[in-house]
Amino acid sequence: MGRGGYLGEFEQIVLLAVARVERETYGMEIRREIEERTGRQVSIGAVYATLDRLEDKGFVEPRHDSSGGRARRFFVLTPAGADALEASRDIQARMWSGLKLKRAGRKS
Amino acid sequence: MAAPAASPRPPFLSRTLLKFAAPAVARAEVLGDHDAEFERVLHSQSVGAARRWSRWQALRSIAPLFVMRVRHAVPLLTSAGWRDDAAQAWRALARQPRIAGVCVLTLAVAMAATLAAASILERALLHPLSFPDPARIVRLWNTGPDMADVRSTSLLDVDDWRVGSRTMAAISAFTAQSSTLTGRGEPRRLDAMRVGQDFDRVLGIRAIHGRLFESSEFARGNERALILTHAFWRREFGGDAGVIGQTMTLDDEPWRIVGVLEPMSVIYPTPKYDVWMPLIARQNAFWENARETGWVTPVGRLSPAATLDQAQTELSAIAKGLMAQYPKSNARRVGIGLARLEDEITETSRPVLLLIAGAIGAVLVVALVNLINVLLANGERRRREFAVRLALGANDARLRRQTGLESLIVAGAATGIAMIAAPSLVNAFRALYPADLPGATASVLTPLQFWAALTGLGVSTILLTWPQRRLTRVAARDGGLRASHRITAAHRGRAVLIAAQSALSVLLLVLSIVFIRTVTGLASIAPGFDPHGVLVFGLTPSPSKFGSSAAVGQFYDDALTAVRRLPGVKAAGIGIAVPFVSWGWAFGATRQGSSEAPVMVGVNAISSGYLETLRMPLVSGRFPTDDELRGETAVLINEAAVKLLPNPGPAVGQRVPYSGKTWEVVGVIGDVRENRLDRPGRPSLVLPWKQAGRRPQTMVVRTDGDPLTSVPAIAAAIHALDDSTPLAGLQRLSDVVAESVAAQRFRAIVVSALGVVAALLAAMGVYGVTAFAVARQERENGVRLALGESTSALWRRVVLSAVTPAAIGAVAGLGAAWAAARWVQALLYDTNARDPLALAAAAAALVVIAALAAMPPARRAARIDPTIALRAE
Repeated sequence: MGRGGYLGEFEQIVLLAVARVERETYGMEIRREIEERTGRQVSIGAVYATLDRLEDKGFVEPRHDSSGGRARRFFVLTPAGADALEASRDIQARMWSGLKLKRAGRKS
Repeated sequence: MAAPAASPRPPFLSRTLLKFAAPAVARAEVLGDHDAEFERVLHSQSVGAARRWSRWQALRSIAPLFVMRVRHAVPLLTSAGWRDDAAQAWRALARQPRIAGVCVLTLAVAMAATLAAASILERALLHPLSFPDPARIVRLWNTGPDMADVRSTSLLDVDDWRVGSRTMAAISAFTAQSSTLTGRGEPRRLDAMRVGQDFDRVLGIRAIHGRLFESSEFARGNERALILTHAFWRREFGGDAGVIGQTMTLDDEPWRIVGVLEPMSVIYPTPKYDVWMPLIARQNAFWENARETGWVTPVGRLSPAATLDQAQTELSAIAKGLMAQYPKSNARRVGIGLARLEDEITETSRPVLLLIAGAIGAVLVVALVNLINVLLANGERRRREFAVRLALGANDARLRRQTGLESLIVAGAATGIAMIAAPSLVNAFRALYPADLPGATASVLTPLQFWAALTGLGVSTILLTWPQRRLTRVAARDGGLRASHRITAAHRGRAVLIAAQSALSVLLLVLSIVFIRTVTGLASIAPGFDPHGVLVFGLTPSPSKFGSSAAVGQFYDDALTAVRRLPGVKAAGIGIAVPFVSWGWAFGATRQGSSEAPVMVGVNAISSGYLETLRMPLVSGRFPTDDELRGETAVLINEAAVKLLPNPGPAVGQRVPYSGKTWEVVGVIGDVRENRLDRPGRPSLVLPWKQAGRRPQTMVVRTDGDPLTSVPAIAAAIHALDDSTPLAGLQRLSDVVAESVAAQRFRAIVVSALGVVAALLAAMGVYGVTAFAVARQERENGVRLALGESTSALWRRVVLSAVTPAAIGAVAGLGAAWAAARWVQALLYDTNARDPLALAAAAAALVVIAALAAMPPARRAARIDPTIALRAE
């Protein structure tokens, strides 16, 4: 696991979106990916703030590019980012294994 | 991508919110994403949907973006390199010591002036009274029929108000009196305040030594108790606490000192007095025991539960009750008025102080505009320095921290200087201020001043950082090697700043001119007598030594004879109503058979030599003879009184009734200004001086040379007759008259000083901007000269480029002066606040100053050798 420690839920989602694109990607693309997959509207600010945090933790790597007209930062998943995602998935898997949810207060 | 013509733009508010919330690193991306997505939603759905989407985005993005912004700022504040940056900042300042000095000084002056103004205004207008809960202290007065106010009332009435009122926590009254102090060196006049029971409770004042009056001291026979004011105690007894229990001899009676008052910020009720005495009606003074007389001034303190309106209602009912109970004495006292004491105290000083504060504010704006100008020009010079540092690997954040530190050092130094200098400024202002400024104690740092200083530090740091930041950004963008279009824009911005400076300067110059004209106008008024070379002083012999009127008369006769015999004395006389010094009395008079409202006629009583000493001119008839001045038949009147005479035709020889006798007018003298140069004197009647009875007399002595040099001889001559009679308030009469226009002179001095400063600052601004423009256009000017432009045309062009914004600003300033005239006119005498000549002179002066300031740079521009200029880049 990287120096960032445990991934928050939205961090995980953003990191997964970066990973899914499988190439350098940027804010707008990441947000659309999340909106399409989750069906939920996502705020621009939240995406950039999360990317900023992930960058600090070393899970994504930015690259400046102004060749396409608009100034844009492209992000790729770092090995540390990949490790963190896998660790999160493992933790979840271990927590889920053998678990059957019973909903209290609901008949049958 | 061609958008439809009517395509709505992304909502401005959302964009603005996003722009301000986003940190610089992500700002462009966030806005770009927002705009692109807005466009998409617009085309795929509807305008409404796109707008809703934009609003949702903006609101949801603020919080995460702001958190991100803070996260970005934190490493800047906590990361290493502080020492490096601070050293860098210090070196940058040290490299340009003159610029740094100008910045520190300008800011320091600006902040010191603001601090001083804030402190004065706080004391004088917001909290003039140091008494507890001052808003509950009220002045009370009788209201007569037709809304006429009667400021004083009788002690009996005040006692009845106190008994009847529930809304007032305390009601009291005061009256001033003057007593002779003997037994402590030279005999002197003391100003005493006779204060009623509960006066201390009305003010909420305490004694710092001894005690306040006890109720037993408001009884006849037990009233000889004194409380000293703090200032008198310090002055007279050097702050000795052992003074309690000692006695002082006032008017030949022993008075026991029972207490010393705590210091007051506003010496209340009058600006200067020395002691408190218990106020009770004296047995031998019939008017003090009567109800119909008005001889005390009532004051009160509202009870915490009551409002001003409730008190007003209750007191009106009390007045009605007294009117019914005492129909004879209280027929004309139909009501009781009341007003907050604070409002009354600040009433007179408010317009002048606000005017001065406004003028100071204007100068500050001019000074700060100059500062921004200097920094913008200098920042452009530093563009290369920033570019080099960026190229060597410094990041934008580090540069920002360095410029921030530079600003903090400059602003910190300026704040320090300002805080040290502000109290002296306040004291200088107080010394210059003609009257007693409310809030006399100053120079401690109040919370308001502290916050003002802190805000000043913050604001000036940001102010200093701003022009530098702009340049850092420009440097970051283009490596510091181009950016000429931005500089052109900055130059245009500076022209606007010059115009603003000019406008404020013209406004202040107009005010200076009209105030100075008011003062010169007042100074040129002939007061109707000649105050130069005349000494005045009060002369009232002790009543216990000179019991009878005959004895007093003999004393004055002897005193006049002794004084007239002194070398250097040209004339001497005694009167009770010396203009600008003392008051006689007055009565209401109407022309016989006329139904006009009565006119107040002033009464004076004079000895021989009085008119000659003051050089009052005779208009017709003759001066009374010495015998007539001892008799009871002859009077003088002044010109204003002629129209009140019973018969038309010549005044001399007419008989007038006064005080149960018939008097013959033997002469008419000219009118004199009585206590204000800008107001003509009243009609007046001049009686033989024995009619003065035992009223306090004022002696006037005309001497060769400076009258003050004759004081020792005159005092010795009078003390040879009686060594217990003081010469009270010795002054040159000319000083007293000059003092009466001190308020106007003060205004004129302060406003014109500020006007001159503003104009000089504006000149500096014009010079700086023009010099910078000339330096930058060196190449362009070289080309023009090479292409055949004459040096005089070049000169004209440079000067015009400086004068044009100044002239535009001057016109705006004239507009402001025109608008301000509404408030200023009331402060003027015989001068029009919109005087076209003053307006024109101010505007012309400023344009000339601007042209002169642009001359040196213009000369430099015209002197360039085109070949050198072309080779320069």
